[in-house]
Amino acid sequence: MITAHAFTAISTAFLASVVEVTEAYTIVLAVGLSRGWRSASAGTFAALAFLAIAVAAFGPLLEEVPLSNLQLPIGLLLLVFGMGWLRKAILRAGGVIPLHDESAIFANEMARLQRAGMRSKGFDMPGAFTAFQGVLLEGLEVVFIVIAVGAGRGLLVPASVGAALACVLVLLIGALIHKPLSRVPENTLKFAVGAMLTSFGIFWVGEALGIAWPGADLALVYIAAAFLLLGLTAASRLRRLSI
Amino acid sequence: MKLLRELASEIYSMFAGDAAMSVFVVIIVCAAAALRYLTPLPSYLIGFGLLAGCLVLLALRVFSYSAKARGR
Repeated sequence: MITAHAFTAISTAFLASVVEVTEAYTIVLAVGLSRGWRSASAGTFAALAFLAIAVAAFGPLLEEVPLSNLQLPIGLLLLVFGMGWLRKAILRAGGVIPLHDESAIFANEMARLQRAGMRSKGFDMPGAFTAFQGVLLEGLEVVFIVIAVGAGRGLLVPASVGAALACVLVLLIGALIHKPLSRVPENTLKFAVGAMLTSFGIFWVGEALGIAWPGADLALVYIAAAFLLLGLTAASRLRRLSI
Repeated sequence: MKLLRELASEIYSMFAGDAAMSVFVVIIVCAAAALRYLTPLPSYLIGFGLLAGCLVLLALRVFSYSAKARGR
């Protein structure tokens, strides 16, 4: 039977990957259309290989460390990281900072790549490097999330599968429509993932301090719900303030 | 070199995009640890204190950023 912990870990990795892969896809699409698909694919696959190696190297290494030694540092990192995502999602939902606009990012990236000079006849190095950098930077957060929610509890493989499924799903949709995925509700997903990561962080820090959470693993659910509720209330208040 | 700079900046923004919030999170966790080991309070109360502290901190950081942004 799948536990609340495993379910949260897999869905967090999946949803976080949808957000990050959507952003990376925009850059790869711009590279593909402006500099050629050979360089875009080479840069993308090189970065994906690099990220997979990072998970394969650090994940099992952390699995060797006793869970009690991992909970506090990983919990603290997850807490800081998750609250950062939530803060940004609330500010975006409240209209304080602009929403992530994939179409605008795509247009900027296309203009920047076209300014970068003539496309070379063979392998286009600037294009490959841009795709590599875009996928690597966006993927870094996914790697952190997969390792943080998966390591120490034997959930590394399920979390990686969740992330890989998101990657395949976004790339499949992208391959079909050949446009930036501006209709993906990135901020809503960021909201949900931020609440889940923060919940993991508080839960793990609490466990490291010897706190017995009422409801055991179910605490993940009510902690995430408390953050979601706060986030939605704060975003609605910010929207009213900005009118 | 540029890639390494970008990587370092990405990692920094992952954990310290709002540096003050990150510092206060550490302070809240330290306070929870102190309460856990130095007082006879039931552990679940400290857990809820940790949760409440993080919720209040998040609300404060969001509204202070919004006030600053509106003042600009």
